[in-house]
Amino acid sequence: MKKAYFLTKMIISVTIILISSGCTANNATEYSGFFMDSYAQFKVWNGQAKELSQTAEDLDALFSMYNENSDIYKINTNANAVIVHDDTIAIINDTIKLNDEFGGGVDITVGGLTLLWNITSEKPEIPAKEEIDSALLQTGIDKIEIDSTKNTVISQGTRLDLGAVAKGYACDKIKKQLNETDARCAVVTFGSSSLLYGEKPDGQPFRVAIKDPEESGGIIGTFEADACFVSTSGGYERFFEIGGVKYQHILDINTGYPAQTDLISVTVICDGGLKSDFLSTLIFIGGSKGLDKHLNADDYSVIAVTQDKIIYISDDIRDSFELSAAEYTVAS
Amino acid sequence: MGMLLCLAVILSAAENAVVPVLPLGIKPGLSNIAIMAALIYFDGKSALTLAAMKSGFVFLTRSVMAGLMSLSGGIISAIVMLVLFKKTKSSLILTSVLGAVAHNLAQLLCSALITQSSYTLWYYPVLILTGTAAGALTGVVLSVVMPYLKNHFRKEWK
Amino acid sequence: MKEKIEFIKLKDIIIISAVIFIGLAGLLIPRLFDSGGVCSITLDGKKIYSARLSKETDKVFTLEEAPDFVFEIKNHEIRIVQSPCHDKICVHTGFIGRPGQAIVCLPNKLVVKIEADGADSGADLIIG
Repeated sequence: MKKAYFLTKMIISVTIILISSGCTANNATEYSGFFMDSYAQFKVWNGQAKELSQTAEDLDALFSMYNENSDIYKINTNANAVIVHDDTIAIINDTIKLNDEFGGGVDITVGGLTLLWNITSEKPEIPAKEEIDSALLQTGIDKIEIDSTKNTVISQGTRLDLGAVAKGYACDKIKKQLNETDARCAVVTFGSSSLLYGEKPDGQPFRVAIKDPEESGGIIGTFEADACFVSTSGGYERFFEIGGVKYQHILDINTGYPAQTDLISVTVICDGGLKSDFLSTLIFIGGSKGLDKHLNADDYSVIAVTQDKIIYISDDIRDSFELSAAEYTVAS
Repeated sequence: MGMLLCLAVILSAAENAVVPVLPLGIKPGLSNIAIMAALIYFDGKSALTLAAMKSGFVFLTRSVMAGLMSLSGGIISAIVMLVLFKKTKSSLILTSVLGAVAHNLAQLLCSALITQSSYTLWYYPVLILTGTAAGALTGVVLSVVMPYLKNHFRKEWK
Repeated sequence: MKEKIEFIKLKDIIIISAVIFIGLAGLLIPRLFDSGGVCSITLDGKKIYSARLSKETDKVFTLEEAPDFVFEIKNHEIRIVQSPCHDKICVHTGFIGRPGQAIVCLPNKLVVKIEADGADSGADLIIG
């Protein structure tokens, strides 16, 4: 009788163990390096940080418009249909969807213009107006033809530049990768796009600090967030100066020139990487006059800073925002 | 004793099913209840054996690392509780609290050694606090079920 | 075998309170110190310099392994004064002093980083 009791309990307990999950270790690994044209940092608890960077490396090889072996380069330099990877189809389609949802604003066919301005080159110059105009003629998402069944893309004279959305997409893919592992928590950042994953070991929300684009090394303020995607757009470090005027790297597809905006920094927090990257660029280009509807959006939060040093914050993260720089004020 | 092993194993498994819901580090340490019961009703050797066997289960059913963590935490905490309970005749609550804290700290040390990283050691304050709470909880639970356990074990000894 | 097992004694409360105190202290005290972490400079992944900023006096210096760079430490912060790269993004970044901050010179694969000092050292993520 006792033995039967014993056996039953053994069987039940083994069954329960097999169903149970969870790990108790509390170790974090870190890895950093140069990916997608920026300094990326990967940190994960209960996981291998280096594995995450592999995803970034693979995507970079597909998306970089400067890499001759990338899908994007092939699309840009071929008049015929080019067979590409699933990720390439996905990122183009997803960006088109977002453009439709938000009424345009982030055009990934801006490649010709990007090359023209060549902001990161040795001697950046302001291109001639004729050159800009002819480059503008080459833009337009309607010039891209995608065949999802054959995984092909044809670009009719236009060039793709995924700079505004690639890092956000990478964050999405890394999140999916993390979901397949035991990792409890991770912080991944490419500088302008980041992923906050899971929950920190101490149970506290993530604290995020926003750099001050004007005061080198300074911080404008910090806010708290649970797992989410965070992207920032702003002139920040990539710009060149001619005749006292700063030309930053985010181009306005309507004018062909660097976007003229009264915003110096836009941070978007939401549940999608590509979406946050897309939105931060969109809102940045839109200027402070377009802020209202974004501040009131339900599915994403915004922190936008104007050149007058006024900070506009969506209500849902307003409470956790702490100002760090005295010259800035939070709009009420 | 076999029943206690099952108990330890079931508690540890049930605990792991709940753990994903709680912030990492907050482990109720329910299996400690079984180890303490072993201490009270049997002897130190039984308690240590129990801890080792529980870790064996973890090793077999989850992973080497999980088994190692369970072993380090379990053995050290069993030893601590043994010394407290048998040698210095400490009270129930003190034993369970210090046992739980020792369990957590031992696991922390083990994970730092495995990952060759001292960074994780900085979580010691959180683990001390959660250990205290967990120890208090298990101590209380044990005191509540003690009358029932006493009856059961009196039968087993005969 | 009737053994009277005590539930709790007065001295236990004292001991447990002390343990809780140690836990709380360990948690809160690091939060008081937010500046002067360890600064490291790496070139192509290899560490070529390391210093605790809080202990450094103001100085301007170069490193043998990175001869074309000039660094400056002032007020427990560090910056790149001169660099051989074309866009000078690293120079534009200016001073950094808080754990987690970094100055990066992409073309030269040089990174100036301030390491985290303890469990809680400010922000988990610095963006922008």
